[in-house]
Formats: sequence, C-alpha cells, structure tokens
Amino acid sequence: PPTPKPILPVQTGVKAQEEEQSSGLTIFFSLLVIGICIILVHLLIKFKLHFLPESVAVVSLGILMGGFIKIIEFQELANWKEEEMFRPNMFFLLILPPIIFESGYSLHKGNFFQNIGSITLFAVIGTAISAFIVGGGIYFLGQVRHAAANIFAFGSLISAVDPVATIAIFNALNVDPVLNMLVFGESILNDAVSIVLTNTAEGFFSSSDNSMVTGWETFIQALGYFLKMFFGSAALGTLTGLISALFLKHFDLRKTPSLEFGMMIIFAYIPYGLAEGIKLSGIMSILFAGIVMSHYTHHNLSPITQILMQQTLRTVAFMCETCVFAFLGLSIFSFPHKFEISFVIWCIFLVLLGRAINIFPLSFLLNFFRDHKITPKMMFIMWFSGLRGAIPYALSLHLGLEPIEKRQLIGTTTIIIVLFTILFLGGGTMPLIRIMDIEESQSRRKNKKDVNLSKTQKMGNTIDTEHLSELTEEEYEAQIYQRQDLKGFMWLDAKYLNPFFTRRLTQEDLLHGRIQMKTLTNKWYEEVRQGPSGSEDDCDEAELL
Amino acid sequence: MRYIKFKVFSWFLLLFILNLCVSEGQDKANSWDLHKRDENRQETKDENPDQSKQTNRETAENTEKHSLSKSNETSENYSNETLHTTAAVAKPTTPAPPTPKPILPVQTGVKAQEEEQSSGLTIFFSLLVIGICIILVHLLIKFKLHFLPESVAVVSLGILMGGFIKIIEFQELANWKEEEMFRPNMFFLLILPPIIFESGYSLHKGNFFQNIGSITLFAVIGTAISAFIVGGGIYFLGQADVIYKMTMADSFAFGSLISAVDPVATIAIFNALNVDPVLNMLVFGESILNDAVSIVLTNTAEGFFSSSDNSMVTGWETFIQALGYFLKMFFGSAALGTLTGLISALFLKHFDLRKTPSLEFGMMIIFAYIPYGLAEGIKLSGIMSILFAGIVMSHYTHHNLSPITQILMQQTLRTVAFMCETCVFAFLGLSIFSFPHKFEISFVIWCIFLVLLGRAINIFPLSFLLNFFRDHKITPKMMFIMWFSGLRGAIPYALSLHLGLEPIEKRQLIGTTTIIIVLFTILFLGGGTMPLIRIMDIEESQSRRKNKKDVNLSKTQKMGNTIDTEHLSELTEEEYEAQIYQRQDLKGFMWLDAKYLNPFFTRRLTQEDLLHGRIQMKTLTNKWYEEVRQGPSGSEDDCDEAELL
Repeated sequence: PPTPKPILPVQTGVKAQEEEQSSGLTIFFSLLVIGICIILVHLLIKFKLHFLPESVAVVSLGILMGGFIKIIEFQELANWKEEEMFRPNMFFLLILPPIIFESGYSLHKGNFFQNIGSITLFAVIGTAISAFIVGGGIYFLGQVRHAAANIFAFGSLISAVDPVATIAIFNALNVDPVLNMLVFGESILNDAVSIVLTNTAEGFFSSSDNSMVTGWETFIQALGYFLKMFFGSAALGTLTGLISALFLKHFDLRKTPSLEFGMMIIFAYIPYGLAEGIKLSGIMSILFAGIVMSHYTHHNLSPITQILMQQTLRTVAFMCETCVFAFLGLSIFSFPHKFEISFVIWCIFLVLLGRAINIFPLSFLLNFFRDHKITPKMMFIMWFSGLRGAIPYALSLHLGLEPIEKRQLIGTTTIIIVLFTILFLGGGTMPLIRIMDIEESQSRRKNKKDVNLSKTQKMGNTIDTEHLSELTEEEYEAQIYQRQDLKGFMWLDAKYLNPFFTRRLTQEDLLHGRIQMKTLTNKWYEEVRQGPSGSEDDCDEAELL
Repeated sequence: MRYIKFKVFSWFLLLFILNLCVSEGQDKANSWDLHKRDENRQETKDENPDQSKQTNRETAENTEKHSLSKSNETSENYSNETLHTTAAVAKPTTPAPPTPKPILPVQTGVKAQEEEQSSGLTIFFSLLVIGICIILVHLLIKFKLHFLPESVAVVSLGILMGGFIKIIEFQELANWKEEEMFRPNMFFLLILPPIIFESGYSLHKGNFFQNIGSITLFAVIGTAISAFIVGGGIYFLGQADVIYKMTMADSFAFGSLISAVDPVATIAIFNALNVDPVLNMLVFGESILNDAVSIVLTNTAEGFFSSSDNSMVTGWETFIQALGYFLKMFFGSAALGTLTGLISALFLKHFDLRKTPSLEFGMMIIFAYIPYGLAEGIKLSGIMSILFAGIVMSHYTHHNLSPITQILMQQTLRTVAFMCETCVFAFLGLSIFSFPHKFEISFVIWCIFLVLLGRAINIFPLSFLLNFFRDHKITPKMMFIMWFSGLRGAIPYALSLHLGLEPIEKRQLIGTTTIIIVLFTILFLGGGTMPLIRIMDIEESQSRRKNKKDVNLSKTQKMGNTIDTEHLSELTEEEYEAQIYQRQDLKGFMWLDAKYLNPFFTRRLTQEDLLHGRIQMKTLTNKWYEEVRQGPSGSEDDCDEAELL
C-alpha cells in the first residue's frame, strides 16, 4: 500500500524496547570503561608513575580490554561488538565540544595571544604543507590507486595534531612554557584547519570530479571556502561569547546559581550547534567562545558558579578525553581491518616527513621575527611531539570512499598511525626531553605540586605566569607590528571592552560573595561535625547556596 | 546485537516489500514477510549487475545508516528513518542489492556532513528553547509571579513558540519540523535519568521512609486501579460503539500509561505552594514510584497481551504471570540501584579520590548513570534503579566526598535536572503543533472523564483504608487535593509514542488524546491547584516561615527544601505509636543503619580531614576574593588561580 507518511518517527512496541535495551547496554559499557580508566589514572597519580603519560596508559588499557573482549567473544560468551564501536557522530557532537571548550576556557590567554602569529602560521600553513606532502606522496607513490580527492582528504585528516594527546603528554612533563604553548596552540587550531581541509578536499574534488583541469581556480575557491570557514567560525564564537557576557552582566542571575550555570552551559554549547548547522566549523567557534567567555563572562558570575563552571568543565573534559583514548585502544580490535604493511610504513614515513617539512623551515622563518628564538632542540621536540588523536580517526570513518575495502584500508592505516604516534612518540617524548635536558629551573619549581594534582588539574597550570611576563618584555622589542597590534588590543580591552562586558563589583557584591562562600563552608563543617549518623538533613543544608 | 541488526535489515526489507506489492494488504504482507525475505535475497543475488551503481550504493548506505540509527544514535533517529522510508518509496522497482556487511556503521562523505548539520541545528534549536525558558523563569522569580507555576509558564511558552514556528513554516520561511519533534528515545536516555536521580538524591529520606507504606500503596495498587478503570472503561465503551474501538491490549496499555502521575509536573506545582509536608511527600513519593509502575504496566500489557494474543482464555494465569513480571521488575530494579549505590559508597570510601576532585566528580557521575544503563540493558526498569541509587548515594556516598565535590554534585545535579525539566515542558508545549493530530472529541472527553474517575477511585478508598493505620490522618481536604493534583507529564506522552499500535490512525489518535490530557492536567489542574488550596486554606503556619525565602530561591533550589525538617521529626513521634509493624521495621532499619551500615559505608572523618576540608574551602574563597580585588583588568591569571582546588 502507499505507505503513510512516517510522521511518528519512533520505534514502537517491542522494537522500541530492544532499542532501549541496546542503548542501555552501550551506555553501561561506556561508563564501565571510563570508570576503569578513572581508577587507572588514580593509581597512576597515587603511585607517582609520572614517566607513563595518562593517555598512553589509557590507550594501553583500551587495547587490553579490546583483546579481552575479543577472547570473550571468541568463546561466544557475549557479544559486545556494537557497544565497543567508536561512533564518529557521537564523537563530534558530544565528546569533542567539551574538550575543546575546556581548553579554550582554561587557556592562558596572555601566552596564547603573544604567540598567536607563530601559532597561526604553524597551524594553517604548516598543516597545509603536511597535508600536501602526505597527500602528494601517496598519490605519486601510487601504492593504491586512489582518486586524488581521496588522497588529499586522507593527507589532510592525518595532518591534524591532536590537542588531547599533546596536552596529556606535555602536562606530564615540565617543558618551556613557550614550547608548550606553541605545540598546544598549533594542535588546537589545526584540528579546525584539518577538518576544513578534509571537507574541502572531499567537497571540491568530488563535486568537480572531471574538471581537474582548472586546478588553480579550484585552489582559489578552496582557499576562499577555507577562509570563510575559519573566520566565520571564529566570529560566530566570539560573538556568542560577547553576547553571553552582556547577558550575564545585565540579567542578575547571581542569586539563582542553577539558572546561572544552566545559562553558561547553553552559551557554551550553542555556538557549536549553530556553527555546525550553518556549515561552519563548530570546533573553531566553540574554542573562540571558550576564550571570550573566560575573559569576560567568567567575571560576571557568582563565586559559586565560577568554581562550579571550572570544576565541572574539567571533569567533563577529563571524562571525554579518557573516553576517546579508551575507545581508540578498543577500536584496534573492533574495526574490520585491511592491513597493507607497505602502505602503512610509507604513510608513517610521509607523516613524519610532512611534519618535519612543516616545523623546521617554518621555525627557521619565524626566528627572523621572534626575539625568543625557537631553538633547534625545541624544533626537534615540536617535530617529535606531533601526536595524532581521535580526530583523524573519526574523520577517516566519515570519509566517503567508494569500495568498502578502501575505507577499511584507510581506517586501519589511520588507527595504526594514531596508535603509533601516541604510544611511541608520546611514550618517547619524556625520555627524549630528559636526554636533551630541556627542562630547566622551572622543573624544580613544579615538582612539589606534582603529587597531588591530576593531569586535568594541571592543565593551564604548567604555563608559568612569572616566566611569561618576562617573555613579554623580551618580545616587546622584537615583533613591532604584532606588539603594536597586541598592545593596541590590550589597551582597547582594558579601556573599553572590559568595562563594557564585565560587571563592576561593588563592595556589597564582594561582601555578598564572601558570605556565600562562608555559608557554604560552615554548612559543610556543621554537617560533618554532626557525624554521618545525622545525615538526613544534609541535602537540605546546602540548599541555600 | 547481531539479532537486532538482522531485525533492522529485515525491517528494511519488509517496508521494501510493502512498496513492491501495492495491492497486498498490510497484514498479509506481514505474514509472508518471512518467506519473502529469503526469496528476495535469492532474487538479489541473481540480479544482473547492470543496475546503476548509484542506486546500489545508496541502498547500501541506507541499510548502513539504518543499523546506525538502531544501534545507538538516538538523536539521529528521526532523520534517518525518514530518509530511509523516502528512499524506499522513491525506488520501488530496484530490489535490494547484495549489501556488504554494514561493518562501518557510519555515514560517509556529504551525507555525514548533512547529518551533522541537522544535528547541529537540532542542538541549537533545543538550546535556544531552554535558554528562552530560563529567561522566563528568571523573570517569574524576579517579578514574584508566584501564582503562576513554572511548569505552566514554560508549557504555555512552548505552545506559543510552536504556534509561531507554525506561522513561519506556513509562510515557507524555514522548516524546523525536524528540530521541534519530541524524541522519546532522547527523553528516556538523556532527559529522564537526571531528573529522577536528582529527585532521589535530594529526597528527604526521613519523611519518605516514614510514609513508605502509604506511598507504595498509592503508587502500586492505586496506579493499577486507575489503569484498570481507564483501560476497562475505554474497552467497554469501545465495544459499545460509543468511542473508537480498541483491542483489550491496546486499551490497557493506554490505561496504564495515562495513569502515571508525573513527578516533574507535580513537584513544580507543589513547590510553588506551601502545603503540608506530609501531603507533599505523599503526592511526590507516589508520583516518583508510579512512573516505574506505569512503565512496567504498559510494557506488561503490551508484551503479554500481544504475545499471547489469542490465548486470552487463561486470563488468571496471564495475570499471575504479569504480576510476577512486575514484581521482578520492581524489586530487581530497586535492588540493582541500591547495590550500585552501596558499591559507590564503598569505592569512594576506600579509594581516596578527595585530592583530585575531577576524578571524584567523574566517578560520581558514572555511578549515578551506570544503574540506568545496566537496568535498561537487562530489561529492568532504569527509572526505578536510578531512583534507588540516588537515595542510597545521598545517604552514604555523599559523606565520603570532599566538600568541594559535595557542593559540585548538588549544584550540578540541580542545574541539569532543572534544564531537563524545562526541556520536557517546553517540548510538550511545542508538540501540540508538531504532532500530526487525529482528534476525536468524544474519545478525548471520555478519556479525561475516565482519568479523573480512575484517580478518584484510586485516592479516596485507599486513603480511607490507610487512615485506619495512620496516626497522621489523611483528611478529606488532603484527599481532594491529592485527587486534584494528579498531573500527567512527559512520561505518558513518551510512552504513547512508543506504543506499537497497528494502523497509524490509532497511534495518532492515542498520541493526540495523550497530549490533550497531559496539557489539560498541567494547565487546568496545575494552574487550578493554587486557587483551590487557597480556598481550602490548607496552608498553615509553615507558609509564614517560608515566605522570606521565597524571593531569592528558584524552584529548583526549593526542591527538597519545602519539606520541613522540624515538622518532620514531630511527625515521627506521632507515627511512632501507630504503625507498629512498619515502625518496628523502620526503627530496626534505622538502628541497623546507625550501628553497622553507616560506619561500614561512610568514612570517619578525622580532625585532620576536617581541617583539610576547611582549608580547601578557605583557599577557594580567598582565591576568588583576591582575583576579584585585582579587578577585571588583571583577569589573565584567574584561570590559573582556581586551579589548585
């Protein structure tokens, strides 16, 4: 019969129950994995195993669990196949946004903006270079006869240095804050670049499949598309951040922390949804929203919401990161592999080569303009620490390749490269830095903190404020153009923007904030003193926050 | 899982075949689907490869997409399914190609982008709606419009927005149809758990457990009575040709789902008022527990009646079986939740995560959500288990946390629950325009009548019965309020969308009727409760005690607060005399709790711990203070400053 319109877009009856059951199991499985990883991280911190980065440990645990599940499955005891799959959609919609927003929110803005020139150069030009070298290399080696579009898409996606993996490694070490910021900043921005490049390669090449003649025109077009994406997303994010600052300045939600915190969550997530909706880069816009919100909006919040925001963000970002690493480890067993040793080896070689041609010439070039030079040692570390993470893998699953074998091949190669970089490069960075003795005086200053701070807490902490201001002086002389710009913006910021976007705290506000915090502390203290047996009232007691 | 995948595939093929044979009736197609599927596969193998490659790929992708939508991506469900169906409609002449195994259950290329774009818009739209609702709630609090409950305001706003969107769509300016749909899967997996967990976590346990007997009676027996009255009424009215004719199974499933009094709506109304805490607890406790009862009853009705469609003779046996199923669900879920809660307490007692709040808080989130996933996974009631996990965790685990995580946990839970509630109400309001309606005035009126009658026969006799055992009697006034405040919420609506009714008209009819009943109860009963209580003058001395707090506390903050602790302990004394059996039990448990359980599950705080906690809080306060004193211009360092928590 002419089927009625599917107006009720839901499963019904038994099917709905089965679906819910399957979702339930998936959730249970994911939570179990994250829980085990949290215990692992806790043990790492407790036993001070600082030589092992958290990411490496979690990935290894994921691989172990994957193997274990495989054995269970092999003996037909249970089938978790569907639960352990890594879902790119979930990743892009739920897991990535908190991670990126958190890195924007807890970014050391001074350090970031002082190095913005170098970072942008590495992120945009460097990633493009790397993408072209990997793509071109594979194309000319012709190991597998792919279409040019697919090759370049692969080259772009594999060029994304992952912020999650990089942060995890660098925070376990104590390195020069400038080096840290360069690598971290590059890795944050080049995700967006890589996503945009991949989409461009896919979109443009596949749409104009036969008209490859007008290569130059395509290039210009792609560049335009890229610039639109880049600046459009950044503008969208910045705008949302500014609106949130104005909103929270003028709507006094400070007495109702639930509403305030809810509003913050909405403002944090809305640029991502909107940007994806209008075909911009969600990751770029959420990053900029994070930066702007921590600069302006944060100061319009009540103290309890400020603490809440930071802690919750950190926790959620930590859980998402853990989830990503664990599922990367798991995926090695769950993914249907098609392994071609020569392809993999060539790819790894090309990836390393691409990063070398990205880092060394660009650093050399930048050293003409920087006062705080990038030393050859730093260059080497930067080259070595080009870790790939979940973004290439998720992108590779998204890639629309024609025969299923090709998709499998690309997927397998991506997984191997990602795991190779995380396990070998990531695991090797520490000894390398030890050998090269990059860590200087600041390592001594830090070591005492190391014990009781988890990695997620250290984020942003490793970048030393004192050291930074010193650098500012150094750079002050050199980069005249950039300094002018920065100075100009900072002046503008202090003079007009900050007063406009943030709330002037009156003495009364201060008092109120102090009282609020004091009340909280006292409540807790009283409650605890009553002992756990008097525990029935505790829920009510924190109600007055 | 493989079975499900197979099911998906077969479902796809079924739709496919339905398109192929336009002349065949639906039930016939159903019957020969099984044989036909094999044939179809044969055909596709023999099929010449001269079909366009394009079609092949599209169909393959559709299958893949479908398996994806089945597996987990609840948010994608709608778009996938529509696409899927339209694809099937569009190409009725091309048989399914030998699809390769959908091993990579993901969208690729341009489709992936489109999907992401659509999800992005959905997220944007939902957030926008919630944002507007938050502003509305803020304005309500600010201008002290206490006569208007938040839920009524938000639902009305939702209806307004729905109408506005309808106008926009009518003028073809934009199409938000997909975005404004209420998704039952999303609701059950993402929105409901935080609400229920929060109500468990911030429950006043003393009050709850003192009235547990009455609450359970209302929740279980009362809901069953109501379900039977509504279901039976509809069935017999249908048989008498007064209203739309429905089968036994369908009418009882509908009766069960419509009998769930919604905690969200009820709390929202009752907290705006100042009522007797016992009355509050009775209504609230009943509404929390009877969600689970209603879900279980609906599933039972659906599952049992439809599986043993013809063997209706053994009615008594079916009843016993259903009862067993129900008891298994009820106690199994409760046990699962309690167990998870106890494990979490032991875990956080022995693993000292107090110095790393991120890990601690993360662990709490995991422990809060894991019973839901597990219970749904092993076919128990997730909502029951998460409720019990919440109760146990607030009783034991909460005390093993560091002070900052305690505060974090309460505030975050409250915020998330508040947002979820708002979301539910707003989308209920929106759904009145987005749902394809089939309106039958007589059916709706009879249903409303039966619902009210069912609740009356639930409340009045049971209260009368209970009054023999209770010392703190349920007065006729209270009974009347309890009857009147039987608000229905999102759970009936979500359940009604899930219901597998055969012709699409029946689903539409049930959906429409449910929406109307839900909106009717929220807007009229909910909006009318306040004046009613005013008239009946139930509010006593405690209203005076509260009023000063009212101004600066939002509804979500008031939750759990309205139940007065002082008043409570007094009640305990009263009830002490009366319910001997129950008191014994409770007393016994409380004694056990204080003597053995609490020391076992919670951490003894040493003086050092106390000091540490105080210092932690002090440091936080000082950090904030210093930061603020520096002024916003010195703001670059602030992110680092709170890092040391």
